[in-house]
Amino acid sequence: MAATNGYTQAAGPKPSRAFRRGAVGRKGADIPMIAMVVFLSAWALIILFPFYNAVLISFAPQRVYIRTPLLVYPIEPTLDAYRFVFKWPSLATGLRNTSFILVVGTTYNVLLTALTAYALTKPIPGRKFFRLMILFTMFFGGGLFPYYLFINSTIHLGNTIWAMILPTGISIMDLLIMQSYYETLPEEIAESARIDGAGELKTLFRIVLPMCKPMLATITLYCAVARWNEWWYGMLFERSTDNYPMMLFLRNMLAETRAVTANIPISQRELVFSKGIQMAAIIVTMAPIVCVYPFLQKYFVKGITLGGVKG
Amino acid sequence: MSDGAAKMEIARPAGGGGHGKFISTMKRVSRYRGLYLILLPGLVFFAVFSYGPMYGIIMAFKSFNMKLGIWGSPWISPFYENFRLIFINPEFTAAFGNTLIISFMKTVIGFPVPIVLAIVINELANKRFSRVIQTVYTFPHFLSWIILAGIVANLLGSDGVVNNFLTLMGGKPANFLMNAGAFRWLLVVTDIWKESGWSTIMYLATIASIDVSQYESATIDGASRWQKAMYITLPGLSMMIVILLTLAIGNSMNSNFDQIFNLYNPATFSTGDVLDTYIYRLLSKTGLGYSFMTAVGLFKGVINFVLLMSANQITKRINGTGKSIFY
Repeated sequence: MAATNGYTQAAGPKPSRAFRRGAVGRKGADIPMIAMVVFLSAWALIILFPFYNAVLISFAPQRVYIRTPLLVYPIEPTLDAYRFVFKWPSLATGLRNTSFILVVGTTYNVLLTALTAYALTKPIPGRKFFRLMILFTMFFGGGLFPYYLFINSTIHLGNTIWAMILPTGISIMDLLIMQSYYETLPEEIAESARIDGAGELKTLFRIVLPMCKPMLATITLYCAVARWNEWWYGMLFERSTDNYPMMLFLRNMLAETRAVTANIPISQRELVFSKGIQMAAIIVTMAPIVCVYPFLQKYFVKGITLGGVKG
Repeated sequence: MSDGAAKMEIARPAGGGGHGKFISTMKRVSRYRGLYLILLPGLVFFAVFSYGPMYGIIMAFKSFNMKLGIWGSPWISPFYENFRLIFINPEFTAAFGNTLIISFMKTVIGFPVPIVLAIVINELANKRFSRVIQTVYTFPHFLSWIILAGIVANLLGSDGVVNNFLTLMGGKPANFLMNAGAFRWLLVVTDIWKESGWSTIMYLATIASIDVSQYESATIDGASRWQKAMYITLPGLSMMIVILLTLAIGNSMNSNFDQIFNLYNPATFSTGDVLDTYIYRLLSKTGLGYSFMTAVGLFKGVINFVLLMSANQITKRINGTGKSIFY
């Protein structure tokens, strides 16, 4: 900070930021500021440490793990655990199913949300009723067993991959975020398209949705993350492991190491470091989110600034 | 604007508002037929997947038999018999109590954390550091509880790094994950670990909307950083705090299923089993019957509805505008 007191800065062209940050009238680094930075960094380290520990173990050979109770840096790193995970047949099956759920499911989510939200922002007769009917489902549900019975016995989705896709169509939070975004758009643009004779669908897809790209990106990301993390519907409705999503395989593997080592001959089992494999599987399944997140963070955060309430 | 006001009204059945009104409504319906087409898929979705299963609720008042189906099964007498049964079930009452205790602990301990973090982050002068910090704090929000529970188990398990450290320091290793007394604390702490950063962003967004001139004049008056945080930032957040607190209380029936289900085990059922996990486990334990299960679900649903609706009404009043934050 070049300024030494509040007045010289306040006279500058853009004073507000400096004021907001409370940096005015102080030297660049004062004691409270250092204390805050230390506090925030320590908090960040606490958040990161469990992940770091998992990464270390995923690269550690079993003998190192047993020998060094406090592994704080990599010793004799090995890729054995990752080799095992990539050859683990369940990962391939799970990844295939999860990818399908992600692509088809996210498209279904975003399309359904964008369409419904659009119609609900227009003055169509009955809109209040439709809005209320939809909101009611956020406050009240039929409970787990009626739901389970309905999906399995009434509409017969049980044990098909669609049981993990169709029931989660619209998140009401996303719907409300989308509605409030549509309401910020100038009405004249859609109006002029209508005068030009374009139908409602055409207006929506050609004119309105292209203006909503940032918001669509946000909702797509929310849905894609939820789809990547899918396991609950799989656990409820899939009886055949052929349909299991990746996270469900991971869950079973974490719950039961035997599931990992079952197809290894007993004589070789000692060589397999089950904890390392578990951590490697965790790292592999969380890697896409962790890699993408820092770059797309602004889209993730947009939902909060627009929606207000947590998603 | 009278046209706009008319448009806002709900379509009335014929006779209710006069014949002319009905005709004009029908005209508007036909004018907007394209929009109804756009609305249709969403309506079908909610009708099928949200309202469809609600039919099954009547099982709570029946003695349900798979062979006879929902409709064919006989009504139970007296009609509240299933609810009487759930209240004399010790596992249910334990789960109900745990749900309330865990929600209460999470609210009391976890709720202030993001407020403090947001106020401190807001004071940072270094923008890049602030951005990195926010990335680190928020990313666990997007990871599944399956992954996080696996990492927690690795950390706190009998041969995990925490126990190894305790042993090295001459302490006794403790099995945190099998300890019923510590389980609720484990839930509170891991919940803060995963979610506090995301809520922090929400508060930061609210702080960003506070009028900058307040800070400017406070600085000129010689206010310290602490005073500005206490008398400008915190009051600026108060509305958001009250709303989110009300919502948290309204949500107290929904203890985090994913978190608890992936962290608990039979050793911690006594303190960790909540309504959601109890209902799920009933699915595979048919001894108590499907009607019992439906009744537990309905009981939870009704309490949840009442709590959420009250929270909604209260936030409407706090907002001053009479507008719910939901719509």
